[in-house]
Amino acid sequence: MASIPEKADVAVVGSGATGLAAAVTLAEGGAKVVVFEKQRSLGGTSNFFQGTFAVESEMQRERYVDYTRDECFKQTMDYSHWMANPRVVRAIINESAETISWLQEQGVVFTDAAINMPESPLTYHIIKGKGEAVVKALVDQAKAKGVTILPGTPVVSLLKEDGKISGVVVEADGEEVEVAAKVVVIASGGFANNKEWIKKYTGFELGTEITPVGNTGKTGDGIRMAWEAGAAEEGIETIEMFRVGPVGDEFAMGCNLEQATAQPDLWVTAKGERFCDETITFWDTPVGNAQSRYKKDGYTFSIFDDSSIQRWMERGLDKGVGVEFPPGYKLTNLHKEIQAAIDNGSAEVLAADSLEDLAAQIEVDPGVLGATVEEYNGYCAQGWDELFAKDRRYLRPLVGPRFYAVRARTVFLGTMGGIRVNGKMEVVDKKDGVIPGLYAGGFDAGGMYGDSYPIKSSSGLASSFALNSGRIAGKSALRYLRK
Amino acid sequence: MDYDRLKAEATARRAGQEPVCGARGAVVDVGAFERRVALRNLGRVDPGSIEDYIVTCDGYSGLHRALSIGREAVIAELEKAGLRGRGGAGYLTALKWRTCREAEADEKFVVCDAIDAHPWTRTAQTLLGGDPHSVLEGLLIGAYAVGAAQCFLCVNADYREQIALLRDALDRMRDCGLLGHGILSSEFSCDVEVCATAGSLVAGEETALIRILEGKQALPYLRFEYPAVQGLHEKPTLVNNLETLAVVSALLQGRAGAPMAGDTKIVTICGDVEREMTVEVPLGMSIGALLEAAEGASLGELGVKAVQFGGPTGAFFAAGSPASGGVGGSLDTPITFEHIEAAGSVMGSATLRVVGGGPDGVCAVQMARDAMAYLQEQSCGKCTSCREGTLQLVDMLDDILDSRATAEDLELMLELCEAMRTGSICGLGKNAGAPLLSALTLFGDDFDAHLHDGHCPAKE
Amino acid sequence: MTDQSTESTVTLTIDGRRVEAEAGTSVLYAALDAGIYVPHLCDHPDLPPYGVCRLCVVEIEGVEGLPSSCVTPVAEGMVVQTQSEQITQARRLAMELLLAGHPVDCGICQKYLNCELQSLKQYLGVEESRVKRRSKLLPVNNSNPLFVYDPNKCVLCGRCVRACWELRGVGVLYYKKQGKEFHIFTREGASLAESGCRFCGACAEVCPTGAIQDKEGLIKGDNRKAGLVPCKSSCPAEIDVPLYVRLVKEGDYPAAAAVIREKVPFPWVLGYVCDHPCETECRRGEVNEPISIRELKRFAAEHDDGSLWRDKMTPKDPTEKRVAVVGSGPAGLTAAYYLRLQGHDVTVFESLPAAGGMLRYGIPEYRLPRSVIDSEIKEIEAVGVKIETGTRVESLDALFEQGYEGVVVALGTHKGQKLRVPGANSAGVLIGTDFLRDVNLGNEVAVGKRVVVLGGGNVAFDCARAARRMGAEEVNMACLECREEMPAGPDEIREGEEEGIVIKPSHTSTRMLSEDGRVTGVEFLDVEAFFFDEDGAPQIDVVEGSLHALEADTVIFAIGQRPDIPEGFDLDKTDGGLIELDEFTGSTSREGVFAAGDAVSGTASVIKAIASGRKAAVAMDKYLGGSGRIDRKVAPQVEVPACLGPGPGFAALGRAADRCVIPDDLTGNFCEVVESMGEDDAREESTRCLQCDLRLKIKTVDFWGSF
Repeated sequence: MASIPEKADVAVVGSGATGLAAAVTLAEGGAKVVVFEKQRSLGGTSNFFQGTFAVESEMQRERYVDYTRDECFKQTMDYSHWMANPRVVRAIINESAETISWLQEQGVVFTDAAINMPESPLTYHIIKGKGEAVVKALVDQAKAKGVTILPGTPVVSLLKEDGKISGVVVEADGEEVEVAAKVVVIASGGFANNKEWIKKYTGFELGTEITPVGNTGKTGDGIRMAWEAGAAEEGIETIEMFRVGPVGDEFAMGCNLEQATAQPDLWVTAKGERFCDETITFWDTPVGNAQSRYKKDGYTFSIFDDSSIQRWMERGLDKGVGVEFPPGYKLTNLHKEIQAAIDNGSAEVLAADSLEDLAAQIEVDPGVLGATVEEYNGYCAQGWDELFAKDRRYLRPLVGPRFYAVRARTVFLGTMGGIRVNGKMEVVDKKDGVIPGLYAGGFDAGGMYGDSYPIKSSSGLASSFALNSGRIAGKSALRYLRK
Repeated sequence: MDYDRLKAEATARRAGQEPVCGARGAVVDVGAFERRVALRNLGRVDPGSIEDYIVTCDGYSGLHRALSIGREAVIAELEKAGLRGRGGAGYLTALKWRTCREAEADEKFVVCDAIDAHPWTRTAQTLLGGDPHSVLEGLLIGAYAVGAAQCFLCVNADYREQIALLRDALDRMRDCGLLGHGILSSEFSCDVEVCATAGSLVAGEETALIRILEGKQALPYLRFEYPAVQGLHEKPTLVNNLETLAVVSALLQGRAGAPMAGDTKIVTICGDVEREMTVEVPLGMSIGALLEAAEGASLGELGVKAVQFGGPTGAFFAAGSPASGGVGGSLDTPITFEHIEAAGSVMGSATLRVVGGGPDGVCAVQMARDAMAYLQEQSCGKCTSCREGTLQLVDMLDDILDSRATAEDLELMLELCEAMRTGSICGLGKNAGAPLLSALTLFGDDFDAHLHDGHCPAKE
Repeated sequence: MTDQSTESTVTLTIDGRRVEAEAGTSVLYAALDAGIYVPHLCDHPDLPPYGVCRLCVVEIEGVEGLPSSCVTPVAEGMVVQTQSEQITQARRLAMELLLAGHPVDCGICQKYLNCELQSLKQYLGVEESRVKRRSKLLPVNNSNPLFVYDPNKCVLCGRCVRACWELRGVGVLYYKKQGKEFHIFTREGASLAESGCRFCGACAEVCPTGAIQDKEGLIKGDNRKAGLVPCKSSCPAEIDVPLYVRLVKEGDYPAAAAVIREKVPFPWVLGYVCDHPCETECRRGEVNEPISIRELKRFAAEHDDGSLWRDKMTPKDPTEKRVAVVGSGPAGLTAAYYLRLQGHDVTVFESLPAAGGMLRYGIPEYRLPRSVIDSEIKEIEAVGVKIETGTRVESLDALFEQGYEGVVVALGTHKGQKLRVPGANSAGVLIGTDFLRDVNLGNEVAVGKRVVVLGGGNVAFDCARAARRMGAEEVNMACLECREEMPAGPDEIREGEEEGIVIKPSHTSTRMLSEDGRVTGVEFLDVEAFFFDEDGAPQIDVVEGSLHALEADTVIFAIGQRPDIPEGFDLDKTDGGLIELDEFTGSTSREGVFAAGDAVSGTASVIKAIASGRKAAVAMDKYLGGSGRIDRKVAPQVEVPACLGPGPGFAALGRAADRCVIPDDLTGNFCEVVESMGEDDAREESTRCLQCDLRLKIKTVDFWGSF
């Protein structure tokens, strides 16, 4: 078991994709690196991604994907209305293809370059074994290259001397220990679990109006330390939202109920009114944004009936959920799951023999819900959604005999900014000057996005930003160290 | 009270008793194929009368002899007879007793397993109901030989009649000075407690049985020492099946003309048969021959598809010779520890469960599935490989029955059976794959029909 | 190497490396100790090996198959391989089986990143499964205090069962079957309390997945370990509460007192008047009622002979540095005490005739006997702290000129206030602090027969109850807060009411009624809602038309106090008139001047004042070139047995009855109102402790990333 070194060339704060990519890159360049991880487990949120974004990769070329860096750059900047930092965006997009090859060299296996939504370029490089496999591969490589990895050892502050980074203070067994380092790479994964900051920067009440997924113990340590060291702020208010239901200990992620809830049938607010063209479910960001408008209640409902269930059992899903449940996947366990939820007295999943009864159970005015369904069924009959222009292929009336409602919550996959960086992932101060020796990437760094996640032009970008910003930070730091 | 006085007083008291031979036990006809040692007194002795046991069966003469020849001589006698434990594992009894005797401790215990861990076996029910004293005498001989002062007789809690009989027998023994301080005027002091124990497959595992006696849940434990060295409350503990103890008492009684004690086994024939029976047969008789003799008809007439021998974890045996090397065997397999083991199975409870309906009548996949489902139900849940393995295998066998499975599934099934064999603590898990593996060996065609042709051979 | 190895040491080869291990060690720990990671789940360093998960399988030369390394003892010359294709395959299958019934819910699981199962899954790379995965769909058991059990997350490793039976000897948890699925539960499915659970938390501590977890919100703060022992972490002075409660239980009272003495010089005072945040947080409170921690502290202090700490709490070698402390309340005396122990020459200046500050001049005698204050101050003086009473310090410069190198300002909040309502200056309208000071000084205090006290805090009660003792026949207390939100402690409210104080909650006074310049009553409006707006400013919604009056010949304002800081101190102050401190250095705006107590925090509790005094002592000591380490271990180190034994009826044990004795005739009677706890009661009460700290002694399993 490793012990805390007195000094190193580089201290990396966090062992997710950003930190590990930086650590391996730096170690490849001959730097002595120590990675500090607050948690007992490595990888943090990076364990969850199923694929990652790249343009002009070998895999894409083999599949005749002709989407170019230039197109992607333009689309990504358009998506943000040029609120994003163009040099950061350009740097990440340009680096992305090489990063795929580099990951393959580290032992990561990609199975396909695909998309997980319609009408988008094939930028999503699917990983065998998910992010966990990336974390494992990078940790093994890092260790083989002499990187010291210290789980359960949070960094509490940065040390600066003569305006340059000179090390970190870490906590070990309740004691604070100083570690000298010329370079610090901040990659602590944002602040998704920091109730106060989420309220302050996004306006949401954490836990009721919005719930983080795949984030644990993200209190914004890295961002705070960088700010304390004089870093400027950028993009702190952007979060990657999504709509998911049902939520609770008794519901496994990826269960049939969750898949049913994501289907473009009828969705209503807590007041019983439709709120969107349900086919936006195909794109995570729009659906997350639409859902989050109703933050005071914190939830909406997906309403379906026996005919929906029948369809999902026979024809399968319209909207795939994750890589493992593609469109067409059949929900054979749904009845059992609904029954179990009802038997357990869950308030997340409800069923009734009439709309009135269902309305009563979900505490919605039965008149409102009845009118909503009547109107919707009318649109279905005429084949035109007068309200939200939903594609007629997905206009399917609710006829019973049993009706179901599942509560869907606004969740988010992480916070997407905080520290201002330049295209070299150097941290800059409020006067746009570089803080020597300080680098940041991943969820701690801002500038890649505008006000929301550019899902259509660049799916898989969050993990890609992490990996690429880590590699770029590593390369920049090597130049700084003159290695 | 010394032995002579015991016998004299018993004789006097018995004169006034109405003999009720076997009235409270199952009266079993001795078939010509039987050879009785453990069941020697069945139907001949009044199970409720200690006097009857003493006078007509030479009762407690074995204990008397043991006390007079000394501990080591008792063990030597078992050693000479080559007695192997009747609980199923066939461990050499003398070796176990000596280990326990030589273990140094201030206190030792003897535990008698009389649970009949699954409903197919009736050994305890029969023996305790028909002749409890043969077991009790064996128990005391064991306690004397290893130096224990406290015995626990664990009886299936469902056997209310037997438990009442035993408790009464213990009272009588106390009256006669066969329990308590200075038994038969010797230095030997001992007591016996009857423990009503819930019957389950794991309760038949000695480590689990010990936990039950400690007031804990019936879970088998990986042991680092034999119970004979470190058992109940960490003290040396001799754990024996009641059949072994009944044989011990016979052996020590050494009555002229008694058959060689190590040569028989109590078996129960059940399943698709005319009548279920519990009999004691000479080792070496083949499964098929025993069935024919017991049923009084030829195998062909009986319409046997297979016989599961040894209890729920036993392998299947069927007509014809199976491919060599696999688990399972032919009905010609002789009932001996060695032959059964060679067939990849265990003596276990030595039950012959007949699966009928003729060679094509029952689908072997169904047969294997039902066997696995029973084991899934009985798994205590402790070992991952057994808990999940049995559950997954039932599910996979259901898939095969529904013709939803593939050849890769079959591979995984074999891997799961191996994982259970190597990864389980107790016999249940270790042997849980045997019924399935033997069904595969013996009736591969049935599996193929489901896997490749998508139909059930039994539903043609 | 070989020559050095003793008989109890075994040498073996693991992955081609020579490894030494003590005989009896398992192959697993021989490998782990040598820095070779072997995945394992069911094994736990504090529990007997189990051998059921099959993740730690290895190859051993001459041994058939793949033995579980956790149940295989090392042997001389053993040759072990921990990695091979065959091993990987077996481990993966074992992991697939463990995960078969486990939900894919890492993303929303509280245990994520502290979950051994997730870490193992990551290590073994078991994303795809050949065995069928299923949802168990079992209900989550939320019905017990402190813990949540989610059978869906349980992988039946049996650690909790072993922890319950073999580590703690409690014996509550069993393997149970529901349909085809297994879970862990009590024997007959009864509640944990009914089953004899001791709520020690060992089961949750050893659970490698999120199956048994502490209820959300019960662990306060970022630091999980501290959060698990909330009595200690919520104590401002971080007194090791579970330890002294345990020592009381074992009958070692001097040791218990020594534990308290390690952190505070006022154990006995606290035993009377501590506002005990520890009891509010006590986890036993979730089971039934919290431990009566304060009474046990008083008991320990009363039964202390000083034998264990008095010889050890002596000053270090003199540093030749002189320190002045302004104010002799609990904050000032605490700072003085610890600075003296660090070897400094300390003088305390007190403007009033005797030392003790609010202990003596705020808290009335019936709550805190003067002998108790005297006795504890005597101990402080005994180590060489000089106290100059009747000496008011007007200027810090003067102190520095006298050669003091540092000053701790701890002058409390002695300045009470009145509301600016009409009639507030009428005769008979008093200020609480002044009133109490006069009472405690023995000055003549004229109190009429009908008294109205304005305020709802502890000081208000002190005023009200003192007024009763000064002869008032009818005492009304009016406060803004509704009854549930009154700031006074519940025992204070209860005792006050027993003494005949009438509480009028949700009242706001609009003016003092008077005749001839003398107060005759108070006019009130009923309060509909009292809250603080987003800027923290108090807001009052009144009930229209609720104007009414209470007759009174004396009105006492007890609505908060401020410090009285002499101009000559020249210290920066906050908007609220308190002394401003640097968050990181603890220093005031003047070099060498530190501050502590109510003057910094606003009127708070005795224990907070003491904690503040400790902080100031640390900061001052560092400033004077010391280490700042003021803690001394004086209590004996005791090995705590891990076994608790069965606990039938444990959960139902009730809190020791209140021993409050209100005299029939209060007038002039300042005798103490709460009796001491007897030895039997103390033992019974301490036996109720859940011993939450025991859990922290359970070892933590290192994940693969640590190797």
